[in-house]
Amino acid sequence: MTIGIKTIYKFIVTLILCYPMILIAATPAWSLEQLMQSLSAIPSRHAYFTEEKTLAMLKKKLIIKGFLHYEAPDYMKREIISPQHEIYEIRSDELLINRGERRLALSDYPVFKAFVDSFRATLAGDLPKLRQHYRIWLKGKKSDWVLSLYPSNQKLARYVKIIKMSGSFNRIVKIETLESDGDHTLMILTPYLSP
Amino acid sequence: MSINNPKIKKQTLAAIFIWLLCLLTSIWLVIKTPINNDLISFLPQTDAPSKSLLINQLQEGMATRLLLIALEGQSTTAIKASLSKRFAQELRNQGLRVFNGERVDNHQNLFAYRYLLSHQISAERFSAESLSRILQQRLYELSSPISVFEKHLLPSDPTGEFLAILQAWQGMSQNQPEKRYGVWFSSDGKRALLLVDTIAPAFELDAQESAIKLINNTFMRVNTDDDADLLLSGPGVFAVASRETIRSETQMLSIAASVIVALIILLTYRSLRLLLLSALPLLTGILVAVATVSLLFGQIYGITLAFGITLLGIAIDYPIHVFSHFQSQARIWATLGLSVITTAMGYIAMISTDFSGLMQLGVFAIAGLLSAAAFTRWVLPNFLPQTWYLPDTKWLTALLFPPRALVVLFSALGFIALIALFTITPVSWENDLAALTPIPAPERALDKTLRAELGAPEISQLVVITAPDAETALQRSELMQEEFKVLINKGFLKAYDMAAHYLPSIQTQQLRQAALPERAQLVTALNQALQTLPFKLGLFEPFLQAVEKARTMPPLHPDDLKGTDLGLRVSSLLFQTGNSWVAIVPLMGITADVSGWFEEHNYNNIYYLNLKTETNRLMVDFREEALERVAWGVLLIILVLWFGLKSLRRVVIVLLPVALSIIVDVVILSSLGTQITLFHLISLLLVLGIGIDYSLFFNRPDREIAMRQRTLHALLVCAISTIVVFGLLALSEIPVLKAIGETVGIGVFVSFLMAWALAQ
Repeated sequence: MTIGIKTIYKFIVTLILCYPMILIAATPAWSLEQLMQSLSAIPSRHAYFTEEKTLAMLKKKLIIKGFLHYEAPDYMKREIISPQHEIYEIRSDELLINRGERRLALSDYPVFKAFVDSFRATLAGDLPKLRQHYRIWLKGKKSDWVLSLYPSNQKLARYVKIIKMSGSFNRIVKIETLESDGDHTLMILTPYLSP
Repeated sequence: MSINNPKIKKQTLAAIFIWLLCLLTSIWLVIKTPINNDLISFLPQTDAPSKSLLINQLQEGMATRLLLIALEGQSTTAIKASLSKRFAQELRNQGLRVFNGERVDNHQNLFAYRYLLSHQISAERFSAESLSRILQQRLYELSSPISVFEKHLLPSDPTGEFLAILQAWQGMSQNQPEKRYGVWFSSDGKRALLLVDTIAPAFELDAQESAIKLINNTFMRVNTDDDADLLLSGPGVFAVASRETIRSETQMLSIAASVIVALIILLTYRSLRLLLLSALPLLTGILVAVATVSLLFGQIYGITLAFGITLLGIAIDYPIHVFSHFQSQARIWATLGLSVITTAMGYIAMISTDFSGLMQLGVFAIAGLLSAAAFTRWVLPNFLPQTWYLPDTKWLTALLFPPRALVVLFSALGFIALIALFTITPVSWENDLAALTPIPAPERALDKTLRAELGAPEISQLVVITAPDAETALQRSELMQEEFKVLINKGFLKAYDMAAHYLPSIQTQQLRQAALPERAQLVTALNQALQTLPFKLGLFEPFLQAVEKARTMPPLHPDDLKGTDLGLRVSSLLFQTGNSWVAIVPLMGITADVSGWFEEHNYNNIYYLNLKTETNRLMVDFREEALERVAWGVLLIILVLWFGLKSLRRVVIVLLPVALSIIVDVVILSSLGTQITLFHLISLLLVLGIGIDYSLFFNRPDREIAMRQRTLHALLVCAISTIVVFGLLALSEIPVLKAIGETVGIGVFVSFLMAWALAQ
């Protein structure tokens, strides 16, 4: 019997050790291509966000609240309602701050453009574009995934260490940005229906 | 003329010797003569010599150094964009300055000067309240995604001076083209656009030519996959192209003309020797003319040369007169002499002017005509064959006396033209210098399009500020900023550019330095401002240090900018000419005539210039002066003729067909829609000379039939060859050659018919 118990014990240990593999084998395959495809299926998104910035320059965390809006293929809007009201809009190559108070061509700022494209290309499911600037890792399952972007572009890497997006199915729920100087931003997204 | 007579032989040898001496001296002088290709200095310098000098200098300035480039083709925008980047990089590697929209971050060395260059600096800006307000703004900005890339500037530049400077500079060049993939593109996205600074001004043709060659070769190397075509334009390209066009076209036309005239002379006189001799008077004339001008003026204008050779075209006729009157040479010398002297007299009036261009032209024409004539009279006969007979001219008998009806018809035509001149077809003068460019219309259109797309409009209206040194020029520019603000507020103009926008005067920089607070004072104000803000303690130490350092640093001088993009911009707007400095202020988006404003205010050392009207005015002045001189010349011609013909009636008989021909010529040109230019005017002078020659010969008192036949023969050959030569010029695409060709071709045709029909 002792042998039997031992065998059972061994079996259980093996089972526990192998559990993740079994799990992976059991769930249907979840690839980067599939994630991209499911993300690109949604042409328009609206979300409410809370952002928590931990900056070395400041004694306390910066809390920012506002709305995000995306329209395929290349329109993004970030409207802050707190601590002050501010609107950033990006359409194709143009960045508009506060409806034209400041106007920039993204192509003039290639580093910033690569940064913007980490979000824009993800939402558009544009894998080739994303791969231009980042090395990409996808972890998790369809209902709970984490997409990690590591800048491969040297200039961008000088500012940004990693961008980590977490989501469920075709929804993004969290974006974490770790900057090279140690500053850190955590953004939580809640979908909401556009009025 | 018998060669056996020793006395004559001696004279002959002497004549040939003198001719050879003259020829060799002339050739020696011609080789040394510098040719001045500058059109502006050929034109008169009237009221304010400094003003036209200024225009001249401006045209040698920055604007003429730029070449405009477009990359066009079927390939995608992305491919063209990357081609533009590679192309620009390759050109930069070879020492050219290239602008294609790529942001060049070489302003970093100016970061240290931010407290001297920013127009926001004042003592008030560093007070506790102001700092508090500014830092609150910076805190807000930290919540923006852009802050990831900009926040590193915060500790050393919390008041944002550097960004303000860059933004102000960017604002100055608002007219920049659209960008795609980071480089300039035309608004339809079909052409990638670049600007190249050739460093050499447009009139330095060799430098321009090698820059153009470099650009073409580099493009061939870069464009390996044949992704695009290269379009090139700009003053330098035009200058080189016109030189090429004029060179190749004149070469082609002169070869064609020479061949045809040679054939005419060969067929008419059937002698190779005469053919060779026929070219000598003209050649001698040109050489002596150039040498004389060179001797008197030390140089010759390219235009004098072109106009002068046109005027000497009459010298083709001299040997023809001699050949046709081979058996009776002695009897034509008087007429030929009178014709030459009369024509030369016409140009004497030109010498007595202040315009060096016109003076040169007068000297050129007189020296050329007299030497060609002298050669024809004293040297040419010695080279004529001993036994040679003019081919039969009896067939001309029928033409000797024009039918009565024709005489009436031609006189009527002349008078109708005279009436038409004053009533139906008003002569319209072309005052636009640009209309004379030999550049074909499509290329000019391309230039215009590229210019518009690149937002590099030709500087046509500007304010010029002069000063003894750069600092004073900058100070004066700064004083004018308020005035320009008024003009902009009044809606007279949209924008202006000036060196002081980029580089404030040392005085202004020192004023800003004086406004910077001492460290202790700044620390107090900063600490007070930070009381209610979450910034960490000691974060702004770099800022405190920078302000402290800026208080005593030496101000930025124009020389410090050498070699930078900003330096290029500044040096195109502020430069030294001779002993003085010039700051130019290009005016953009002018909606009203601002010349009155500047006249009214009469600022010291500050002038408003409209380059187009100024250069056109110079042209009008030149033309009016030339016309006046021509009028005096005609008076002289009448006097000489009166003296030579000894009868006022005969003067009228000789001059009437000439006058009518010129009128008919002008009326024909005008009715063809031609705008009369300076070049037409000069051509009319040649028509005048030729007309007088024809008329004098047709009106020769010699009644002998054989003699008249020879005269008609000579004039027919003269007219046909002249019409052929100038008719060929009229076919040219080059406006100047076309103008000369048309005017002389038509004029000589009419002159011949008139002189023939109206001869007594």
